[in-house]
Amino acid sequence: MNKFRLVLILATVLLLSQNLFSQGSPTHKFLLGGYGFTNLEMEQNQNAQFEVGFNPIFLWSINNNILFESELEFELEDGGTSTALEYAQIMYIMNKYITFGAGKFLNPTNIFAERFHPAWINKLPGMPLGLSGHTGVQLVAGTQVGLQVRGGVSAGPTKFVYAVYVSNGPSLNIDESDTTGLGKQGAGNNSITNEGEEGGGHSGIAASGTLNYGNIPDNNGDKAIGGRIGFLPIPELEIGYGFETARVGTDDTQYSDVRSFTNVFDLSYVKDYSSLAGRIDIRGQYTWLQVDNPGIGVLNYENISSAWYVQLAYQPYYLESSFLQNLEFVVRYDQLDLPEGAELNVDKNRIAGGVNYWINHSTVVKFAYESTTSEFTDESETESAFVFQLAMGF
Amino acid sequence: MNLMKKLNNRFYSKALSVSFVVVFFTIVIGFASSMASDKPGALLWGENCGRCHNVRPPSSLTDDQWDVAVLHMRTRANLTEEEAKKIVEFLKAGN
Repeated sequence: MNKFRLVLILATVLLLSQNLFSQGSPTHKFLLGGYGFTNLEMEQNQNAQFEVGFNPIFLWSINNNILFESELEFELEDGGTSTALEYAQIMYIMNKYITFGAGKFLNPTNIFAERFHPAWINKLPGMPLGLSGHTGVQLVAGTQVGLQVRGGVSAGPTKFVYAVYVSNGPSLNIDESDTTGLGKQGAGNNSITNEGEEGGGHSGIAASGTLNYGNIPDNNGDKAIGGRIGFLPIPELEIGYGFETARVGTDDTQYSDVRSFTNVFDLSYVKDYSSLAGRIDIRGQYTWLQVDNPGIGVLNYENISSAWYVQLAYQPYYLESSFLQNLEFVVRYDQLDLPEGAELNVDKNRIAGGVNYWINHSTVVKFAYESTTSEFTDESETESAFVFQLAMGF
Repeated sequence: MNLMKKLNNRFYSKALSVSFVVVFFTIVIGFASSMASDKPGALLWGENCGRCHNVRPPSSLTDDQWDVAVLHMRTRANLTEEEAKKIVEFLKAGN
């Protein structure tokens, strides 16, 4: 009897799914998108490594106002395949100006994570320092779990965009037994070539005083509040400011009252110039994070961190040669500054340059060189790497 | 850096949060009756999609798929209702 019921339930689910997935259905529509990539990373003094990632994106629209979206991440890692729920949220368009979202969503404050991180969109194989767990210490969340309200409003020739959210927020990493320092651990993560997961599994380096952005279950009852407002004075330029305030200390510990405050400034400018025979693409983001100094235990220093990057890309669209049209030249400088008094005190700066070749509008081959300098308390070291990446969006 | 420290002060932090919400509602309410854009869908497609990534040609998806894709990007890229409507009409006409 139980087997019969199980078969009946499965058959019902299958029929409903077929209806849901049907492209011709009058209201329910489904789209499978996403991206995949393969990296070859040749880091100084290390063996060359291949890496593979696959990020399918599932989109269901129930009607013109309700959308469910989810992205999964599959990567080869440590002899197996790692999986992660990148994001999953229900979006409801309440009216012209307000869209409501609930679930796990890309952090609207971290514009790189929200818009530029997919491998076929990111113009270099690596991610900027401080913006992802893939790059070592992370200063701003890649994803949030909670509720958000967002939208865009035209104001004559200009436009405002906004997002406000309430979420679990980050938690404070504390290791009372840590007296040795983790600086070298941070330094070992120089080459940054993974794409994809922006929150949960890759929470960066868990040294005392840093924040864990995969905060599930929430370590305290307070919720983080954050948001971003962007302004587009002309269609080609967007400037934005985002913030997040949160209590990050774990309940019933001596650090329970510790709070964090994050400021993020971002800029993007994309414009075609006939005089330059191509397109200029400029992107930048500055992130500033302060965690309270309670003056107790392992947290007895001014805990302020910052990270920023600026990137310039040029693609000569308007040249006659189809080969040259498909080339893109990219240069990026990024920097990460960690607190001087922290056990994990490694400042980094990196210069990266690359040449991309676009096979079609969403398939690209990237060749990049990056040189990263890590500055410890009393020494510094520079490492270089060549990275090759083939990425495709679909 | 001192400005940033001030911003982290509890008072300033709360004041900033409240200000942000006030500004947000002011924008939403204040511009609710703003001028409608007279830009065609093709121009909006290039401006909005091309801000983050290469534009996908209209022929790459079916009409129903474009409905879903543009709804997705309306929420992700904060497109207005009018922008999304014009872009999806352009894409459907061209596929």
